[in-house]
Parts: sequence; C-alpha cells; structure tokens
Amino acid sequence: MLARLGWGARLLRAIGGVTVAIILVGGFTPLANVVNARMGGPSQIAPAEAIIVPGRGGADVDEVLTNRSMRRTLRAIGLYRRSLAPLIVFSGDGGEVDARVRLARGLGVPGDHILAAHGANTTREEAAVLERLLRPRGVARVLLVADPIDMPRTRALLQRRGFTVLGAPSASSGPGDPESRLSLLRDIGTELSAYAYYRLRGWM
Amino acid sequence: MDMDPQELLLPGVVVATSVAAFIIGRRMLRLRPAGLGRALARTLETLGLLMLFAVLNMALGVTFVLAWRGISGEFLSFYLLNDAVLGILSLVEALIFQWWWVGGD
Repeated sequence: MLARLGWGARLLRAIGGVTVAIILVGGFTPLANVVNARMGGPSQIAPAEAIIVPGRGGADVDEVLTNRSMRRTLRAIGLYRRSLAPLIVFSGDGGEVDARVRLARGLGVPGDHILAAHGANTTREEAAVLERLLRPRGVARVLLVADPIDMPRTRALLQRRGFTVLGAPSASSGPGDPESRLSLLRDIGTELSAYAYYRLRGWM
Repeated sequence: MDMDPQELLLPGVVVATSVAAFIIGRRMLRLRPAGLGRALARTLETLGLLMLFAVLNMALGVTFVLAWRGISGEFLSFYLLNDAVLGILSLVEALIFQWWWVGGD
C-alpha cells in the first residue's frame, strides 16, 4: 500500500507521529494554558476612559451569548462596577452586541454608559468602528477586555489607531481538561494564523 | 497550572484496554507481535493522511473565503473553518483513501 511510495510513506508516518505528539502534549500538559497566558500578557487593571469589549463568537439564534462572549461581557461589567471607566463599548456582529447591551442593562449598567459599536465583521473593522465612535468623545485610554489569545492582534490594531490600551484579559488560566486544552490549542493556531495574515497585509 | 491527578484516568483506561487487547490478540487470536509494528506504522500513515487532508481542506476553504469576499463583496468569516467537524470529515477522507489503497494491493 503506502509503502509503495517509499519516502512518501515515511513522510506520512512522520507527520502522523508529530500529530500524536501534539495530541499528547497538547491534551495532557499545560502547554496550551502557558501559551494562552503568554498571549494575554499582564493584566493592567487601571482607570481608563472606556472599557472595550470586542466580539467573540456572537450569539445563537435564541440571542444567548456564547460562553466566551458572556465571559467578556461579565468581566467588563465587573470592571465598570469598580468604577474603572465610565463607559462600556460592546462591538461585534449585530445580535451579539444587542444581547450584550441587554445583559449589561439587566445587570444595572445605565443605558447612557453603554455604547453599541455595530457594523464590524472583522477585528480590523472593529478597530475602525471603535475609532470613529470614541475619537469624537475624546477617549484615548481604554481597558481592553478580550480572551488572552485575541489580545495581541486586537491590542496592536487599537494602538495603531492611537489608543492607549490596558489589557484586561478574561479567563487567563485556561481550561483544565484535555479536550478543552486541545480546543484551545486549535484556537491558538487559528489566532496565530490570523495574526500572521494581518502582519502580511500590513494592517498592524 | 499543575496537572490534576484525576486526569490520569483517561490515559489509564486507554493503557488498560490496550494491554487487554494485546493479551487477547496474542493468546486467543494467535497474532504475531511483528504485526503490531506494521499496524502502528499504518496508523501513523492514516494520521499523516488525516493532517494532509485537513491542511488541504483548510487551504481550499481559505481560498474560497477570499474569493467569495473578492467576487461578491459579501463577508464570509474565516472562523467558519475553525470547526471540529472539518477534522472529523478529514479523518473520514483519510480512512477511505487508505482503505482504497490497501484494497489495491
């Protein structure tokens, strides 16, 4: 069978061996958690002019936020309640933003302290929408609430648009079971690909 | 960040069933130990094929998304490709391809 290929079969076996190694190391060691925490960088909780919460995963058809989107939203509301900023800005796709606004209002954040940033499909577009919304309000120093793996790209895009960004990563310690760690490892791969793509396009 | 001892459950049961399968294979089915090496090699080949199909599927998907955005002007997210189902389907492709190859021997 594949042995007919000679070097090709050996290459396939090598790739297969690497795959097994990735599954074992990724699933049963804290590698993904360590990379996750490194990408998030240090938590820089300090007063700012706005709390920015980029989209992550949207909302389902029942307008319920995904786990990650919910975590970010609750983290941002917690920071608002600590009076670290007078404004929370939710961005992302329409359904996600609306669900976040409803949740924040339901948890007691006044409507005039919430800003909905509609109209962005990508992280790059989110940065542009946020600049259009926040620049006229004189907002320059922001607390960025995002998953650790999303922090480098989002931070770089916002900094390029002139914001001073304080990182407030959500869920920095990462998951504690093999399946979730492998899932996180896949997400890290996806995010690093996106980071490389953005760098290649000269967007950051 | 430390590993929870409870996480040894999964590798533990897999090692136990693997040992049991080895004993059954040797004593009841009279399988030769040398065949185990070939089985391992073929398994690694299957996993190699899985990765190959996964990369090809991903590359084709990225190309399609970029083309769709360019031609239609409509947004299509790359995150649609970040789905475990693509991995499962790639595995099915790898298994079918390898069995096809085996059948050709």
